[in-house]
Amino acid sequence: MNPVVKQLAMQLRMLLRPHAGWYALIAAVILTWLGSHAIDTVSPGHAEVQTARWLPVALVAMVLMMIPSPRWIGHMAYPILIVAILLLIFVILPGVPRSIVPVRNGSTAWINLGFMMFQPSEMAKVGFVLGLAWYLRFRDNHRTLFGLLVPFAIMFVPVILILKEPDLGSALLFAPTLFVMLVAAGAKLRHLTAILGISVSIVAVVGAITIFAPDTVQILKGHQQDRIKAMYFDMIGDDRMAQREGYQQMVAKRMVAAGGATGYGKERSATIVDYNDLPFDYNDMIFPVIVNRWGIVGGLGTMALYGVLVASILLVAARSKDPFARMSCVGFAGMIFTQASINIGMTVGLLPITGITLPLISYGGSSMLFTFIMVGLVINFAARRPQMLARPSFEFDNADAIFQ
Amino acid sequence: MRSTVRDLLPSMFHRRLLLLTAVMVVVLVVLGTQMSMLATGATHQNAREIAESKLQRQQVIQTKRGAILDRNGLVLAHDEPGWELAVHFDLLTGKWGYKNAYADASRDKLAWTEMSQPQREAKVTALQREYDQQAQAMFITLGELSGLGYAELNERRSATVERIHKLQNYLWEIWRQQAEEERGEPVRQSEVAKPIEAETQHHVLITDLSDELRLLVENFIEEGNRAMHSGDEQSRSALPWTMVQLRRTTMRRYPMDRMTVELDRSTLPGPLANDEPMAMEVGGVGLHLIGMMRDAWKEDVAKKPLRDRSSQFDLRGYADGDHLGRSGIEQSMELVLRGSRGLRMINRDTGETTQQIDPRAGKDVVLSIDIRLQAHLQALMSPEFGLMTVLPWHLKTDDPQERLGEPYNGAAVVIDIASGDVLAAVSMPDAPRDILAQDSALLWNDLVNQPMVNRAVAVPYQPGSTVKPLVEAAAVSEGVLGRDELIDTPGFLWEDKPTVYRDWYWKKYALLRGEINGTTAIQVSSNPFFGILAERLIKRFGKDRLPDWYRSFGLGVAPDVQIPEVIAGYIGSPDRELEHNEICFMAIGQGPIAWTPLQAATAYMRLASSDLSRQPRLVVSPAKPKTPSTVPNDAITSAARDMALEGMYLSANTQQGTTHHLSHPSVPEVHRKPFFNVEGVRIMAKSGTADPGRFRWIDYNRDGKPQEDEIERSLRDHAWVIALVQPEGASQPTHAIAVVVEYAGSGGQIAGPIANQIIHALQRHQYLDWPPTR
Repeated sequence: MNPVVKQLAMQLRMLLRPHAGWYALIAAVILTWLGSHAIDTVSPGHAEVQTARWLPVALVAMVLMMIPSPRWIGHMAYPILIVAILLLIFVILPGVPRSIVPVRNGSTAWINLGFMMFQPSEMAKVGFVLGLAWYLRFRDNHRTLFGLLVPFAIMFVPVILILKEPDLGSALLFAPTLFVMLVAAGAKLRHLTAILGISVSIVAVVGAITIFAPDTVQILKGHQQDRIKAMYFDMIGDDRMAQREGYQQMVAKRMVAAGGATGYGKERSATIVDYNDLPFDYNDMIFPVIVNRWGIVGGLGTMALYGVLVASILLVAARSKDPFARMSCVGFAGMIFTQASINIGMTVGLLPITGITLPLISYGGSSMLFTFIMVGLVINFAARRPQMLARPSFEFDNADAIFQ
Repeated sequence: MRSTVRDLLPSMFHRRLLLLTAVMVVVLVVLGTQMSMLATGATHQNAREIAESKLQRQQVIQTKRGAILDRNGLVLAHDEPGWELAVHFDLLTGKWGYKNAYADASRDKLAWTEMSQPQREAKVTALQREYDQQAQAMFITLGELSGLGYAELNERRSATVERIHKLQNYLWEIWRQQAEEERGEPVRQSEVAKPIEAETQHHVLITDLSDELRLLVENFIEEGNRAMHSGDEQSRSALPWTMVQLRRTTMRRYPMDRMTVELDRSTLPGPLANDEPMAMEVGGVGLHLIGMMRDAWKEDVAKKPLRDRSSQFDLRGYADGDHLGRSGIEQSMELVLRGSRGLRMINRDTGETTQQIDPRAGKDVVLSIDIRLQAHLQALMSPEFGLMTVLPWHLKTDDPQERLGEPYNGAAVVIDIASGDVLAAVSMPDAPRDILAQDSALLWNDLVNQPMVNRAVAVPYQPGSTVKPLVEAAAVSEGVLGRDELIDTPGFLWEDKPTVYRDWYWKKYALLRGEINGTTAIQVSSNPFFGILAERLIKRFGKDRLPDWYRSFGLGVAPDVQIPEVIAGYIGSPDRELEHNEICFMAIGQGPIAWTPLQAATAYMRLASSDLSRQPRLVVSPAKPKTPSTVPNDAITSAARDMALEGMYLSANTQQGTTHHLSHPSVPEVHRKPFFNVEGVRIMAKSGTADPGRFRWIDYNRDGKPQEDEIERSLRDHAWVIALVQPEGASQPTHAIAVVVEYAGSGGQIAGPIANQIIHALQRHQYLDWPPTR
């Protein structure tokens, strides 16, 4: 047999061997299938585009991501992050023609590629995880407070650029993902807890100022204040903002609550959602559509699928000994989980409304493309056999016991 | 615990993954629990009800306001479906063009931020030109299509903008004053100036649209909407039409508002008499009683909304664009006339009506007035007829001739004594609805003549000598004056002021005093006689007795005729007790006492019927529930009534009577000629000349503070005549008439001929036939 063919066959055999990455793929495909049906309930046109155009593109990208070696991907991590950052700068540059970077929903978050609207922040998510994973792979200085500075700096660069677009929803995903990766990378919990405590305190103070302080001392922008106030008033049963700033969340909660145990079914749900004027029902607000159509069963099923997806990715991280692969998988899991949790949290009234999609389910080409790229990379990492006698990574308190 | 975990899972990385997994599981459990809590139990039921209710489209079904009819069934006001066209304030002012141009210019935010201020202004100005041209073309088209013409439409547009700017200035000034009070320091208007509600609304420019115009405008609006949503360049010229609203409305019609009356002039005094009748068109017939409508204000909608914040309907509630009564019966009978809307629930999926509450039309209101008689009285009280102008015999020797022909203001009321029905209540000057519609400011801003004020019910005048028969009836009923008792009266009211309030009767015969009885006292209108009666009442019963009698006759009490403008007049002062002299003064109708023409007619209705509980009535249907009277029916004795009426008869029918003839030696055609000349009726009357006060203040600049040039002194007296009419064959008077003419002079001289013409009008309208034919 030709040695090249033999090499390829071996490669393919290795890729196709059973591992947890396949569970991630199965969960991702089911979530996509669920998403296309949910979108079909409220906007059949978008569902068709999602399945006929974006899904094949995303699957091809996923397969391509399975091919290169993790080491090569690691070497490409910084360039990917840099390209993503450059694209983020490009979209906020003054003077860029609006035909290339249009304003949508008040934000310059997209680049018009002709065949698709490309969202650099989606690429930045992947680039950030890979870049941070590459940075952390052999280090231990993040176990000191000073050593946390660089990881935080890596996070702040894309976050600040995304906030400039502005796209608060996407920017919100980076900090939790960083925390997840640092926890897994062995950063001292007391350091992280302290930082988290300070952050939560700041959020609490800002929230309290927003709700209780007079207009003259407000910190947030008007629409941000309104969303927080709307959620607060809704929580205390005051409907004064229900018809304006709190409208989106009010209708989202109503759609979730009306779904009941088993939901309305497709036809009825389509009518109910339509006449209740749920805004952004095919992207940000798709979870209420799921619960409305399939009820609690559909909602819990969706959460379970995210659980399977995230757990599978974490399992791949657990099985892998390559520190870059480990950390990348943890980062992807953290990113997907954070995004899904914030989206669901805001639709069930636990978090204020921010423009954030439900990964793999909401309509959106860039989001689907890069989520499947994550899945492809996870399968790639899972398919590689761990190197014999490889030093266990991120083991700082009992390494000798493990290295047997 | 920690070491156990470490023993079980020696890898730190795996332990950290386990920790993360645990956190994620907790997050998922929290989310799942919250979702499940929402989607079960009462929250689920409630949400499902609301969500499914959205499938039901609620369509309001309009109701019809009830009609207002006169006593003969003639329709005075009714609803007629129609359309009106309203234009947004921004388009009226030209702000629309600027706003659109600004939006276009700043659409490219990046380019906008890079421009300097002059560049921005230049770009906006260049873009605005096209919008302004589109707006002007729209108004030209609308002017042509509506038949109003561009000039007229533009005038209406300017008037609307001016009105709203005035309102804006008025509100800003109030806000500024409030801010000053709150802050305790001077505040500039610019600090409180913010857009008012009217600046965000559409305003009616054209009412009563024809179907043809409505369809054309609908098409334009549709084309404008298409241009706006599709960005179709071809249709851009239709863009201003998106700021136009067609409103389905019911037009309130007043078919008897303008009437033509034929007036007989043969019975007029002296130079006014003419054998040729006069045809006169009068406008605003009955307006002061019937009232007017207005647009619902924000406050009306907030107070009783058709649909509240929780989407609940109150079908009797108000919505933007509704109309409601502003004055008169339209206002007071709002609840009866309004009716309630209907509600139709339509399934938005199937288009089927699933539930319907039928609308209930408002009830009709029948008034006691005879609109033809009302128009007749209004015509004969019009300045064009002559009686309500300065006539030669009104002039005093030092009056300039230029005063001749100056119009008077005044009022007249006619009551049917048997039923209490108000047959007519005229207030002059009148207020024709067509003039109100064209230029309401003309009437509302006439502070001197105040045509919008209903003088028949809403302006208090001192009664003057017209109260004397009432005082006599009280004195006789109380036993302080005998049937033929002669009282020795001095020639003046006050012993210490022998030159004022003299008894003209004794003055005429150059006597200082003499004896007269009650009927003669009324006939000659003796001031001292009624001062003595007041003294007697005070002496025997205390100071309250005469005021109590006045109240029994209806003074100081607002007649319950169900229109909001009615006032009570006054007796005395609420903050102090009446003094002895004041009560004596009140006995001749001067001092702290005032009534309206309606109260005057009511008092004489009570006197003539000897029934102090009898109420005047303006609304016949729906009938008001009767309240038991607290006044004894026999309070006025028949002797008292007869004496008072006898005195009035003598006053109106004898040469010595003060309500008998005109007197002006320099006008021989009328000098010593009786002004009552109606045949077949017995007329009892009493004139009165009422003190109008020392000055009259007209607040021209509306600042609430009197300035010297706003004060008018040397005023003429108000002229009163009150008459009771008894057709031949009838046992008692059938109609009470009260006439007052403001700032005119001697009562009988001025109001007498008017009262005479009113009796002629009653006769012509067959109210004085006996036995009754109506």
